[in-house]
This record gives sequence, C-alpha cells and structure tokens, in this order.
Amino acid sequence: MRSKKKKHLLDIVFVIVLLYAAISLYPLIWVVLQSFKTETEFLQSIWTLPGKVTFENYLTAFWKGGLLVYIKNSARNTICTVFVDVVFVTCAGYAFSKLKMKGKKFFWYMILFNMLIPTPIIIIPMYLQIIKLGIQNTLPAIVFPYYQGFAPMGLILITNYMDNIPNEIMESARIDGCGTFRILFYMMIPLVKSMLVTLAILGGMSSWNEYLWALVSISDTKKYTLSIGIANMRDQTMVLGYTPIFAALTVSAMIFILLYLCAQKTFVRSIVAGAVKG
Amino acid sequence: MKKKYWKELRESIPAYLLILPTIAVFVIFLYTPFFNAFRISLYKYKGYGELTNFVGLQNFLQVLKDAKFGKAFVNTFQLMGFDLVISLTVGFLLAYALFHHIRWKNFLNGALFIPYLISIVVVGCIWRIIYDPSIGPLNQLLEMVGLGSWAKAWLSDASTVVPAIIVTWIWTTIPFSMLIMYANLMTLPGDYLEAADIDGATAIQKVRYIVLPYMKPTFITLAMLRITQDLRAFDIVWSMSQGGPGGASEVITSYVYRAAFQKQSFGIASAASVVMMAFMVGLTVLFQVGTKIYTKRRA
Repeated sequence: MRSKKKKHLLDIVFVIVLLYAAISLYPLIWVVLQSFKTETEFLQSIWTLPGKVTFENYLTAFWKGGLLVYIKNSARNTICTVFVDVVFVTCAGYAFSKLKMKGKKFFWYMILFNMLIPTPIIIIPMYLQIIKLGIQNTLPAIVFPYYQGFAPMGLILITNYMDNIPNEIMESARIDGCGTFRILFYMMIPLVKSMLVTLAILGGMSSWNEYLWALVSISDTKKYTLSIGIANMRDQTMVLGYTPIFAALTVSAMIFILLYLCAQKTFVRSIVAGAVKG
Repeated sequence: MKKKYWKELRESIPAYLLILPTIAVFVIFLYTPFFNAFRISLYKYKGYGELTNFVGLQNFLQVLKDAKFGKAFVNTFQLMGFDLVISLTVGFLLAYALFHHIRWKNFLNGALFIPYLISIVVVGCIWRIIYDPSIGPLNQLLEMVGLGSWAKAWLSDASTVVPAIIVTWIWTTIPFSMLIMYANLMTLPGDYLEAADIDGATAIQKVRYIVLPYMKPTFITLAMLRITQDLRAFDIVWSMSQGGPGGASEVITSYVYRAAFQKQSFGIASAASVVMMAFMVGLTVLFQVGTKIYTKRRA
C-alpha cells in the first residue's frame, strides 16, 4: 500500500522534473532550430521547424562573420593556457608536496592569497602593466593572467593528490640514483595522470569562456576570442541577418556540450573536484 | 648554526626552481597590479603617462556619492540574494529528485546540466534574443496565450531589466548547484535512510534530520562559491544589457569597467574596485564567523 503511494509520488516528481528540463533546454533547442532556417523563413514565423535544412547560415557565420578566426584564436589561447596551467602547477605542486623547501608556508599562502582578491581590482592595473611591458595582444598577456587565476585551485587539487602518494616510492627511487627531476617526470607524472586531466578540463573551460580580461586586453580585432567575437556578432544583425547569428551561437554552445557528452564521467568528476576544493 | 641555515637553503634549490615560474607570474601579474590599484585610486589618471595628479581620497568620495555606484551595489546584492536562495533551493530539489531513482534518471541528469556548459557570453546572447521585443519568443508566446498587453522590451525597460538578467543568471547556476549536491548525495550512506525508514520517519523528517545536516558542508561551500561568482558577475550583464538602460542594470564590475575603459577615469575605477574589495573581504569574514558561531551553537 505504502510503496504504491510512493510510486505515484515519484511519478509526479518525474513529470515535474521533466517539465523543468524541457523549459530549461527549450531556449537552446530553439536557437539550434532557427540556425537551420533561411532568413525569410525565420522572419515569417519563429515557431515553425525548418522547412528545408540549410547550412548556409553556418557558412556565413564562419567566413563573413569571422567565426572561424575567433575559434582559432580561442583555441590557440586555450591550448597554450592549459599547457602552462598543467606544467607550472604540476612542478609547483610537486615542490610543495614532496620536497624540502625553506619558507614553504610563506610561498603557499602567497599563492592562495589570490583567492581573496576580486578580479576587478587587478584588471585595471594589470592592463596598465601589460601596456608598460609592451606585450599587449600577445599570447603571454593572455596566458599568464589566466594562469594566475587558475593557480590557487589547481595547486590545492594537485598538492592534495600528491600528498596521498607514499613517500617510500620516491625514496626507493632516490636510492636507485634518480634525481629530483627524474622522479618528477618518470614517477610522479604517470601517477597523477588522472588529476592532470581534471586540471586540463578546469583550466580549459575557464580559459575558453573568459570574457572580461580578453575584452580589456585585446585591442587587435584579428586576435579577438570567441567570447568577444560572439558578443560583437550579436550587434551585426543588420549586416549578417539573424539566422547566421543563431548558427554562430549554436557552434559556440555546442563545443563544450559535445565534449561533455563524449566524456561525461570525466567532466563531472573534474567539475565536482574543482568546486569542492576551490 | 649558520652552516645549517645554508645547508637547508641549498637543499631547497630544486624546490625553488620548480616554484619559480609560478612565483614570477604572481609577482608580475598579481602582486604588482594589486598594490598599484591602491596607488592609482589616489590619483586622477587617464590611463597613460605618469601618475602625477594626486587627489588623495577624492576618488573614493566621488564613488561613494555617485548614485550609479549605489545602484550597481544594490543590483549586485540583489543578483546575489536571488541566486543564493533560488539556485541552492532548486538545485537541491532537483538533485534530491534524481537521487530517488526517478525514471530516465541518467538522461535527466545529463540534460539538466547542459545550460552550465554554455559560456556565459553565449548564454547572454541567447537570452537577449529571447527577450527581444520584435523577434523574441517570450513576447510572441505572451501574445499567443492572450497576454499581449504584458509584452514589452524587457531589456530596455528599467523596471524589468534586472529581473530579466537574474532569471538568465539563475538558469545557468542551478545546474551547477544540482550537480555538486547530487555528487554529495551519492556519498550519503544508504543505511542512514534505511534506519529512518524502519523507525517510520516521514519523507520530510528524513530531509530535515538526515539529508540536510549531512549536506551542510556542501551547502556552505556552494554558498561561498556562489557569492564569489555573483560579486564578480560581469559577462552576463555586459552581454545582455551593458548595464543599461541608463545604468539601471549596472553591477559593480561593469561600473568599474565603464569608468576605466569608456570614461577613461582610471582613478575612479580603481577606487570603486577598492571599495568593492573591502566589502568582499568583510563579507567573507562575516560569513566565516557566522558559520563558526552557527556550528558552535549546534554542537
């Protein structure tokens, strides 16, 4: 009797959650549908399904709208940032977790203090700094500030992970004549591989999506990232028409959604780790 | 004594080499700018040349007197309040529903999370089209169901722009809260709930006395994360309304951005960001002390 009542309740909950999911996903589905319509079809009615699927909007977005250039720039920035994130943080994490270091506490808090500083406060002086250094519109002006934002969380994650690796493994390697750096490359890195994937996902997502710093620091339109490009394209409906914008939005939205659907477990694990330790 | 000191220092060399890149980045791209921010806030500065025009605390006075800064402040906290309450509540309810093995659990779990994976700028652009007065689905939907008189230009109306942005913002934050809470619920030992079932606890009692106390650390972490994210909100506002119309939807970060990069008053912008930092640090301390007192009282 009781379990029957419970089952009914679960069905009602199911319907509510399903309804919520439908409403929540509808904006995205709507955008995807519009991207396959022709401009006239879209202006006639925004509710119909595309009559004949056209990919012309995508071509317009990629070439005339410059989406291809934006994606290329974002990809380059993200790949370089992820590389720096993972390499720097692994080196530093190894030093903090396994090596003797005078003043370890001082350096540790020097890095973690970053979490207390809100981004807006350093945006302005950082902008003046990159102008002074003459590196505006170059890769270092993007990569290092992004690394600076990523480092505290990344460092906490990898240091905790390395702390769980027993010291005996390293000591026996040291007796066999391995130096500090050989131990790092040949023993530590294979052992922390899955954490490196987590770091790459977290660093990659934040760098790909970043907007404020890119907007402030990049003045060369040829170097615009996807975030800036998409926001600019939205204001060009007069030139491009509406439907190519939908195509551009679809492409930018789908990149991480597809990655997520391919590696759901890895993504979820990484995001949860980033939230709990961040 | 001295010898030992040098020996320790020499042994630390490999470690220093390994942290050197990180420390160098931090000195150049965090600490130098950070201390410069305080210095710039005391000058009248247009963004080029030397800092020469010292004005003392005048920038701070100007910021605190500016009604637009007050508006930005109120908006930021409004965004934060709604986000905290709605995102955590709905996120918990969804996670708890999924936890009960409802039908299509895996599908729903994946589908509900999707909004979080879209970058905020793209989210802002999508919803800007949804709120669009002529081609936007929202107005057309209202007309279809006979509420055509409610239709309006949501993002250019000073009275609706902030709620419209808040709805969009919450749309992307709920999936995140849901995911973290669901992950936390999966670690809840099954026998806790079984024991409660045997004792004849009602569903509400189970949530009140078992689930929520178990999840308290996660609620605190999530609230902390949401607060930091909300205070930094810029992308959503800038891509939807650029703080308009007439400053009606300005938040602190967009105020700082506008002051520096549109009005070229870097001193004012720095002063505003210093004020913001003071509040953030204060809020963090308050939150920490609050949770400490709360946990002590409960213990």
